[in-house]
Amino acid sequence: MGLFKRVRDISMSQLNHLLDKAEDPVKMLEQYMADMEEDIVEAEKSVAKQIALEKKMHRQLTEAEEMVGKRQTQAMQALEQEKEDLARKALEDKKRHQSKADDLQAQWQVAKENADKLKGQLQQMKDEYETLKGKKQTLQARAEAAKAQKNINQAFSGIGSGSGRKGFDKMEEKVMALESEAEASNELRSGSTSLDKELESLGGSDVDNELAALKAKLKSNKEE
Amino acid sequence: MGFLKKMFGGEKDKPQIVKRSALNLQVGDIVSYDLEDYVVIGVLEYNDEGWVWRDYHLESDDKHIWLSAEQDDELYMGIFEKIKMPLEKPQQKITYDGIDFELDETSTARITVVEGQVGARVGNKVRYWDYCDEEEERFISIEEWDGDFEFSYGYEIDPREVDFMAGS
Repeated sequence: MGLFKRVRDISMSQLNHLLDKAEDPVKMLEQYMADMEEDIVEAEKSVAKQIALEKKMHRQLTEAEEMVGKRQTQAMQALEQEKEDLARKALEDKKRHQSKADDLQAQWQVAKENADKLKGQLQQMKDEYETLKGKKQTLQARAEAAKAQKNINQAFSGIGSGSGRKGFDKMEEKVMALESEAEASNELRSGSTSLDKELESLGGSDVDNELAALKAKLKSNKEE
Repeated sequence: MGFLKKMFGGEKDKPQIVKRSALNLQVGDIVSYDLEDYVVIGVLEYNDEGWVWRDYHLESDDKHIWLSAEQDDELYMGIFEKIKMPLEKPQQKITYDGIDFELDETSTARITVVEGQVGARVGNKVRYWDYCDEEEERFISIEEWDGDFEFSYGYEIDPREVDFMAGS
């Protein structure tokens, strides 16, 4: 009957599957429920009209049956008063009302079945909506948790292979290079210190030697 | 996007259906109560110096009842049926169906909304007398319309017991 326009073919498991795949499950769920709400309101309208129609037919049926009873009584009264023509007229009209009542009985039966069927479908739809409403919070929390987890994972993966990690690597290399340089310069510094000392000591003896050599030369010159 | 859709007819305007509650029912709506579906065939809104309540004339087959709804600190709802009482005029105490009722309040209200089969016009003034039994579970309401008294007997119902369907 077109009650479930947009959402009729989606079961809860299908919905869960769609939500799992959706980029923004919360937004999708909210849209789904909004569509469903709209469908329910539209469906209510159809059901209300069907119920009103069923009630109207039942009223007409009751009226027709009342007329059948009334004409029957009038026919009896006419016969009691020996007014056969009037009794015949009453019975003819009774037949007309009886025929109308029979038609209405069949129509009302169909209208009642339709109304009950639509009411059942609407109730099913409302029950499903209520179930969804209850599950919405859970699904929302699940979606939010998944989103948070994704963010954390991305943050972690960013550290592992992203520019952040590369930056750290470079920095580490730089630090290591600096450390090496520092070590090297330290070695150089300590090396130069010892060399100076050695040279100093060496230098000292050279001068002494030279001085001694000069002294010796001067002494030999004098002696010559 | 919405603007473009509207510009190029992507989205057709459709009449908005207002979700029904006990305070906005219309003629043609359905009220389901106590396993019975009733069609709203009349709406009356009363206003007594700002106190507003609504009475709905409901029909199911041959049965006619009145649903009364008032939003106070919470929603109050009652089901009433028209009755006959051998009373010339309202009194402080009355008895119906073997139950004693005491006058609870009396005042005058103005009719502000009329729809369908209610036998009243907007602007009509109605004097009313509300009675309740000792347990405050059953009520009698007397209304004076153009000098004639109308009597109703009713009881309070839980709003959760009632379901509404918009018929338009």
